[in-house]
Amino acid sequence: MDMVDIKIYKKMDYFTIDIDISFEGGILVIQGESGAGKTTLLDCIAGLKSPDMGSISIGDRILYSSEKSINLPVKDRNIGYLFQSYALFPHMSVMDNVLYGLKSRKIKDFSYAEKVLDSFGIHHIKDKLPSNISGGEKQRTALARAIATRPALLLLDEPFSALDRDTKASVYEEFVSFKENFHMDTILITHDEKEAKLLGDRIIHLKDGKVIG
Amino acid sequence: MILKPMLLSLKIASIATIFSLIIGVYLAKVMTKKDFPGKNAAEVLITLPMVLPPSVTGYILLILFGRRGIIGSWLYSMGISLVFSWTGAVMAACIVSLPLMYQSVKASLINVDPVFQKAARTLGASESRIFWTVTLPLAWPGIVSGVALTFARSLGEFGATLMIAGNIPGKTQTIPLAIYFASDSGDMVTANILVGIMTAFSFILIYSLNSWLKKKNFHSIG
Repeated sequence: MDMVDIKIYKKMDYFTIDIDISFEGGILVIQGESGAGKTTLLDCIAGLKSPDMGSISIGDRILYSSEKSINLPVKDRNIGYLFQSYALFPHMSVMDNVLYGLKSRKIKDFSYAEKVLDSFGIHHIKDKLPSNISGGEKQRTALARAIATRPALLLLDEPFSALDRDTKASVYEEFVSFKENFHMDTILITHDEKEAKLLGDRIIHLKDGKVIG
Repeated sequence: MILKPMLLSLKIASIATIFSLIIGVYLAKVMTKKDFPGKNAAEVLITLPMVLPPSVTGYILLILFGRRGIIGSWLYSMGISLVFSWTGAVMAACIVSLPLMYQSVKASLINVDPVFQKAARTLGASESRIFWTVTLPLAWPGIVSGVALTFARSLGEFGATLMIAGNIPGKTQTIPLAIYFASDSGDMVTANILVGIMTAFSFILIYSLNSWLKKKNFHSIG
């Protein structure tokens, strides 16, 4: 477990994101209403957007530092990102989706990915296209894809918001066992207070780009 | 009288479409990804053959690639001549149909939801890997329509082809040229048959394309 250190300052249209968070291990939940700057925060950590100022580091690896003029490209950050819409590649099978990150990084050993597929219970649908699987299966495939490359940090953007209530209940349980099995430093953002309490080791509240508790 | 122009037209249109596809995809990729000075002018230049009379395009090609042309004289010194040859007809068809390919591919590349590219980026993919494995496959329907339109346009190319390749039966005489010269010389039977074939072929091509695109939930043409 490495210390994750995030200091981000970024001017938005209606407010300024000004955040200073550190955490080590487990799941940090960032809770806030929509439009509080949650997704922008994740995008900055992943490198999809650039802060105006600040620094982002995991252990002694600096991903971004305005002071030292460091801004690692997204592909070199090794951060897993589960998008709210899952963003599963529609023309690739479940298996090809999960292996995409490994092949991009020219990793030939698929044993960990196979283990992930097994433990997520999606091995039997590995040849199916995303359009032919259920919402819960899509969510698990997207999570499997995000962690198959063993990222240093996992970002989850409202990972359960697209699921219906019944599916949600079982997915929560799976998520708790995932957390125990995979021990991955994770930032999860949600607007759902119940979800935050259920899943987070630590919860912070975000409003208009600032931590309010 | 009928078979030769048909085979020649198919050969010229097929090769022109392959060139258009390669050039069109490359140009669309550059124009959607990069900003550079003169980009707007480059965009107009690519699209220009679509609105210029084909005779104007043909004339410009003749000036450039004729035996005494700027590029043509240099090619001629190496033993290559595009004038009055089927390769000249390929070039004319390619340039005249390129805007259709370019517009079609570009529109479909822009339409790909950027979240897929973002996801690929977080998974460690390089920009070129993202283009070939994510963006291009998702833009597939637009590429297929680009190919179909380019092929149909190449098959029907007349003005620029006549200017640069001339009308040499068996060598550069494509279906549209054969129709013009058949009707000019009063051979209405040949003209009627070729007109029927061209019209039926173009109708079937666009009809099948539209049905296919509808199935794929993509915008149909026209």
